[in-house]
Amino acid sequence: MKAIDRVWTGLGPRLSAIFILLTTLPLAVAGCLAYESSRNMIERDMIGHLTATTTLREAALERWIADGKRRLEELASRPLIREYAGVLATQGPSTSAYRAVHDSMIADHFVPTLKMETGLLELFLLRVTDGLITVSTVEKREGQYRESEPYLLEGKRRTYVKNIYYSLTLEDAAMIIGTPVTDREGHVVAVLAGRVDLAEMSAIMVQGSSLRASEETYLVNKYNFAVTQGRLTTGRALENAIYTDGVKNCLADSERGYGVGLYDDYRGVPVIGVYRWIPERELCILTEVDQVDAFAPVAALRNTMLGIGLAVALAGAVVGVLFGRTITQPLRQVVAGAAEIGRGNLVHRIASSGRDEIGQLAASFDAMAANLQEAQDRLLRSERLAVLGQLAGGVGHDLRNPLGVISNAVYLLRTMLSDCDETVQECLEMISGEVNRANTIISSLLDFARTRTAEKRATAIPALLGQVLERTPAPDGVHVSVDVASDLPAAFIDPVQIGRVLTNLVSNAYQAMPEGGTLVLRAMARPDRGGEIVLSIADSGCGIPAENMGKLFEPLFSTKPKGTGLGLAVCNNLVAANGGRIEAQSDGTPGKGATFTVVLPVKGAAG
Amino acid sequence: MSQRLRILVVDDNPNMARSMVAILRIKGYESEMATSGRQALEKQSKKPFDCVLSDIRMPEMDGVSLCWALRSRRPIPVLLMTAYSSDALVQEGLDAGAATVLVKPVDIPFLLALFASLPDRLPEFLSEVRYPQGKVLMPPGGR
Repeated sequence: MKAIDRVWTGLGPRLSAIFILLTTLPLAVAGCLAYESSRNMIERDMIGHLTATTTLREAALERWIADGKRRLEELASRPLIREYAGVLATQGPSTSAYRAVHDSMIADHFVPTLKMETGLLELFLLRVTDGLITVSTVEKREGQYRESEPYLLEGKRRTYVKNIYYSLTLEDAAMIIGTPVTDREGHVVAVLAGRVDLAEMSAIMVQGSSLRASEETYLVNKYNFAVTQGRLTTGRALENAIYTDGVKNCLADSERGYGVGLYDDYRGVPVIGVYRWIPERELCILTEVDQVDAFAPVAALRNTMLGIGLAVALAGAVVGVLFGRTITQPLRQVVAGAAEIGRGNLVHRIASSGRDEIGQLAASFDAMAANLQEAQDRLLRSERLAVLGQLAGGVGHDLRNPLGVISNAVYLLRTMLSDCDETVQECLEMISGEVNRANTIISSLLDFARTRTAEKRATAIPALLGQVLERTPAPDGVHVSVDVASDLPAAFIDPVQIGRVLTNLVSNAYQAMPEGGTLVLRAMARPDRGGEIVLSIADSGCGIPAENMGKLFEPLFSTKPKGTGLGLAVCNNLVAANGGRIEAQSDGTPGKGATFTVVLPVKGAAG
Repeated sequence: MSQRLRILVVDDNPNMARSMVAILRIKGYESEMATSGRQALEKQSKKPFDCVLSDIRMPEMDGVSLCWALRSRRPIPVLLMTAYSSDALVQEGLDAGAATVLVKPVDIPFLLALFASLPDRLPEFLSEVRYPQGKVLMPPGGR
């Protein structure tokens, strides 16, 4: 559970997830929009195309029917046909004239006409008075009566098309055109009828180009029966009833006569369909195309988009992981470094090379570690100094007792042996001198060890410098110059303590110039740092070697043959006790000397 | 010097006391030594001294308490000496009525000069005894 938590709360996986989201979300939105709009567009285009197809095929159908009508009318208007019709209407079938006319009509007119591929399957002539079929290309029909057929009743007056119906005699669907035949006097004597070839009608429905393989146009009559055979439908005309939404709407909406829709066709396959009611033919013409087929380009687009989306998501994930790693790697480094520093290894540095925020963070950590180390060093040093001070104080004090006894004894001996020989006198002098020197060392040690609080008060620097120079007159060959800014404020310090510091520094400077030189005392205010006073004591003496710079203010460090190594340490303590600080600069070059800078606070300044 | 000054030297270090007594005797003073505050008080009550020179840090009874005890009985100049030159200690000694507090090793010529001037400057040596607030000194054994 914990491992899973870490995986999902880690920066890397989260970055990857965000990357995937950022890359795929716009793509998905764009993809959806593109898909929708192209689907709509294709649907619109497809409907337009289907409508056009429907209209064209309807026109073709009408043209084809009109052709059939014209053909019949042409046939009916032939003089011979009219004459024959007159003969057939007036004479009995047993007469030779009747037979001759009958045979001629079939052989010379009807059969050639059918052979002309007019789309007619059968031609027959009906006697107008009783509907008797006098001549027919189908011989067995001759002698039958069709007195109640509309193509006879209507066909007497004009060319009439009997729309597709189921013929009981044919046991098949049929469509028959009838046209009147007049004799020489202009009396209608017969009706010439032609049965239309429905297969040809089916051919019209599938002719022409189609955009999609699954596209088909077919006709349905008002009883839901398929009239034509589509490419995909099977069975003969009027054999199959179709109850699709398209057909239903078309038949129900025959007033309006036009519509489009997305529905399942007779196979149960979703299609886009355009339907139109043809009132003259009492037929519904439908053009449909499978949705799968119609939307194939959209599907292709969708698949492409999905592919691209997956690729982009994958790329996003990879980039996210890589990016996450570039972020988390340095972060991990920082975390590890911080932990190392936290464990107390203050020497450890993260040392990140980055310049970004993480690099800055690492740099800050390094700086913090450096500061911590410095603070720790300072603390250690001050602890060491405190212990050293205690030790020095204890030892110093305890040494004063025996020194006092020795000193007393020497005094006694010198008093008692005032006229003894020179060697003894010399020895006593030596003892006395060394006792004094030991005493001086002890005093320095105790000075260093003593923690006297500074009695701070406003102190004029020029006066203090004057006292110091008075106390430590310059040796021969040393030129002293004092440069104090005129607007220097009073320092807020213990004049006795700082006086001792300055005295120490000045006498050190004199000692650094045994051959003579120049001592420059400068004092100026630093308004930018709260107005603190910067006092510098620069000599032109032997300078300080670089290796000694760090140990300068350490106690018991001295380069002088008779130094106690406490002078600068005491100075450092005193200046610190007064809220100031002391620094030394020297490039170690003899002749260029050294400069000691004492920074002192003024009244009201922080620290 | 019509009458020789009697000086009591008190130090728990016998060498210090002995050497100091020897110097004083050579220089013409009548001097005796004591190695503890109690011994000093006994000697003082037997035959009073004109002046007492005492170390401060001693076991049992320290120099400051001794000074306080001596000064509470009679006005006697007390000089204290110490190896521990802390400001607080010096002030304590002065408050107890010591004429001065000398830091060891004692500058003998300076000390002798002090003794020499003592008869003439006695009032100066008998500075006022101030009782430090909240400070309980060793019982003075009287008063």
